[in-house]
Amino acid sequence: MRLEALDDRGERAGPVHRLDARSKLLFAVAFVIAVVATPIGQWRILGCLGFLLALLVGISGASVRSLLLRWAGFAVLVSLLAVMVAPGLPARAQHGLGTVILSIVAKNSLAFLMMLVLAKVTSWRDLLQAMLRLGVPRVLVATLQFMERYLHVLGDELARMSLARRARSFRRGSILSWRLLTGMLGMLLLRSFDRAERVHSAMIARGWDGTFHSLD
Amino acid sequence: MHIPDAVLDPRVAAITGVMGAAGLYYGLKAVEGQLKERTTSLMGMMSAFIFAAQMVNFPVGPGVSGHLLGGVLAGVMLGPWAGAVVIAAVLIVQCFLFGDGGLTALGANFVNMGLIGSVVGYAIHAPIRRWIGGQRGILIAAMIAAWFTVLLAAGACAVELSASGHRQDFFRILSWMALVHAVIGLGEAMITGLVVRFILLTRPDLIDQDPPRGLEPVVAGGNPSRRWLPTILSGLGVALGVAVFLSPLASELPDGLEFVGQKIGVLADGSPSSPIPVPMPDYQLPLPRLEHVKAATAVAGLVGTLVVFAVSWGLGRAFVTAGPRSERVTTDAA
Amino acid sequence: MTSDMKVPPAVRLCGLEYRYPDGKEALCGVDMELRPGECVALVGPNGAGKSTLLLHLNGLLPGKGRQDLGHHHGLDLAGRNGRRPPSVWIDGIEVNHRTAAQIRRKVGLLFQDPDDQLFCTTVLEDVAFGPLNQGASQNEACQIARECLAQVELRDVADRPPHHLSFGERKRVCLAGVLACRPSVLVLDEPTANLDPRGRRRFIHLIRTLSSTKLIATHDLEMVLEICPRTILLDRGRVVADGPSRELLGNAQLVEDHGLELPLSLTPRQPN
Repeated sequence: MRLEALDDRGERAGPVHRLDARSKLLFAVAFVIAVVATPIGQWRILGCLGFLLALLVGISGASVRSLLLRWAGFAVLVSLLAVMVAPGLPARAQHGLGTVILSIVAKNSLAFLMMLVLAKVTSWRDLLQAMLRLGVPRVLVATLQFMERYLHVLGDELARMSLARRARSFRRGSILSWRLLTGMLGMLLLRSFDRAERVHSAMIARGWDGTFHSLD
Repeated sequence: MHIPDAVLDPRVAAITGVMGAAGLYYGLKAVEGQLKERTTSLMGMMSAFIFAAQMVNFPVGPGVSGHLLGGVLAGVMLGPWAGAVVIAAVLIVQCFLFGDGGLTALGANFVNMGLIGSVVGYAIHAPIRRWIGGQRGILIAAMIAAWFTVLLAAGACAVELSASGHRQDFFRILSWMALVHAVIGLGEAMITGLVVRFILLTRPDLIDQDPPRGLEPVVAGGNPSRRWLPTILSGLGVALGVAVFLSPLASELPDGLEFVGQKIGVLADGSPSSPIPVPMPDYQLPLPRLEHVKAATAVAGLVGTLVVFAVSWGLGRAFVTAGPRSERVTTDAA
Repeated sequence: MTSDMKVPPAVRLCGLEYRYPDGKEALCGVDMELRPGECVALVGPNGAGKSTLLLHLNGLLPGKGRQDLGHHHGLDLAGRNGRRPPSVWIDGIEVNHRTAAQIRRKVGLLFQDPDDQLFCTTVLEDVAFGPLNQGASQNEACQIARECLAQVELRDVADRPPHHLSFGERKRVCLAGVLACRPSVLVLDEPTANLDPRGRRRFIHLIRTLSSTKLIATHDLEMVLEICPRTILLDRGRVVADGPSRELLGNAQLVEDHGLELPLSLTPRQPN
């Protein structure tokens, strides 16, 4: 599972990393909204935004190669969707089908990359604290905080179960039969519930009162 | 089914954003009302699980694969609004950390997968569960609800994707979405059903065994006058689900009318007309004709419903003869 | 047993009963008293109820009435069949939901699986979790955390993520995390399980240096003989025996009747 995104603290203390998480979050959201709201055909505006993004990518120290790889994965899907949706958009009559499709893909790419850069320069825990301070309801943030802690646990469980399954299966390939798939999912759910109860008990045993404190 | 950024018309994104936010806000308030010590911990756990489960793909057709959406599963285990919050958490993590699902599409995605998936799913499953009763009822209701919510979500998705276009675009997109999601819906029903069955057999205490009292948070001495709401919602849900499948067929009529009109027009001004609309009007793609897709969709709907019902009945047989509780799977209480 | 009337026992259980929601009895009337500073071992076969008992000592069990979503350790406080609710006292204070927060400052519970307890980004942050929850400022919490890490001889891993540590190190970090709460009663669930010999030796040495009242649930009978003068044998939810460790564990019939074995050091040597 691609969980490195959760761990990444942005160890390199670049200037962007040290900014308050709230500003980074708000900036990213504003950027995405600006990109999406840009009318179709306004290539100049998109170009400026793209340039800004490139600057940020440079400063943040994100690996361009990995960014492009992940983008490529989604680009195909987005292109297909764009092709399906574009004929119906009113802008199509004005700009032509090709422009509309390209516009959609370009906008999506900018927004997508911005989110990736945000994830790179802000640790998930800081992001959640920022959300909390920006007014996102506590219940939702607490759920997200627990989710983050449990994802590691789940990842380990899943890895262990996969290993155990592979040790006892004699077919090549990883196409899971239905039975196996749901058996694993069911076991994963059960073990996760048990684990969640234990982690929660351990937190309460050390006096946890509902708020997540942090040392910095 | 995660809609990416910039694919939606900005107005649609804005409207669904508001709907999603309102729904989430209401859901959070409802959960807060029932908040116990462990609630957020369990919700976080469920979110983590659904996130993990969504990474497991099952093949649906050549080149297409589906994954568990999990709305009904979350709703059955935690309740409708807690389930919706769980889905919201999953969507947020997917969006912010992996770019899976657009930021501006969060509203639409939440409406489709969280509100329709969990809340409407719960509303569909509640009366079925009460009607059949017992653990079998839970299982069958969950599977049927899972099936229907996938269709409804697909329908909503089609609406959102084509909202600014013509009605024909809507039907075109709807047919394709419904057809693909008919199969995904079967997968969802199967996985949900098997997981629920597994839980019922090993840790039935994890699923709230009290007969569900509707969408209102469970309060001591619940409000009976609100009981009709879930029934109506579920009936509506089922009806809409059926409509999702049949409407592509229904669109034959206007197409037919236009076809006739064109013919008449042709006769009037002598230009040939193309009587057969293809899915991507301006592209020469080797895709099957639209009527074939529409017919296939309707058939898929009918067959799918029967299959889900039959399978869930079969799986549910495990519970008919459940007299004394089967061996409790004990963890080592050293 | 003479008890000093002025100083309440560190831990007192009186008729502790507990039943799972599916009706299975876990504890059937347990009586126990620990004097301040004592080090007592709790032994017994799997399924005896040791872990369940330990969870009662800091108020994690019983749960509140009909438990909420998914928790399967619920107990109807009114008691099925109308029995009186069981009672636990720590330093003379009754353990119930109102006193729970106070009790948890007094009782430190070290869980069996370190991964259940380590959930912060760095070791230092995890050890500081307790003090932060108790209201310490960030600086104070940091200082306490460093002290406790030094106590368990893990001063230099403070800034590393917990999952980069070995199993033995993780266990010691958990111990540090519990010690950081400054408890007067320390409850340890299988502290030496799965440790390599060196890790085990280290842990035993650490436990020996701690001055709080200690209750150790364990299968490691050799460790019991080393550091616990007194042993309580639990089987099927009942206290079967309670006395000096050497005597109790040296009683071959008794230990074998209850799923244990004579520790090697007490086995009479067989001529080869």
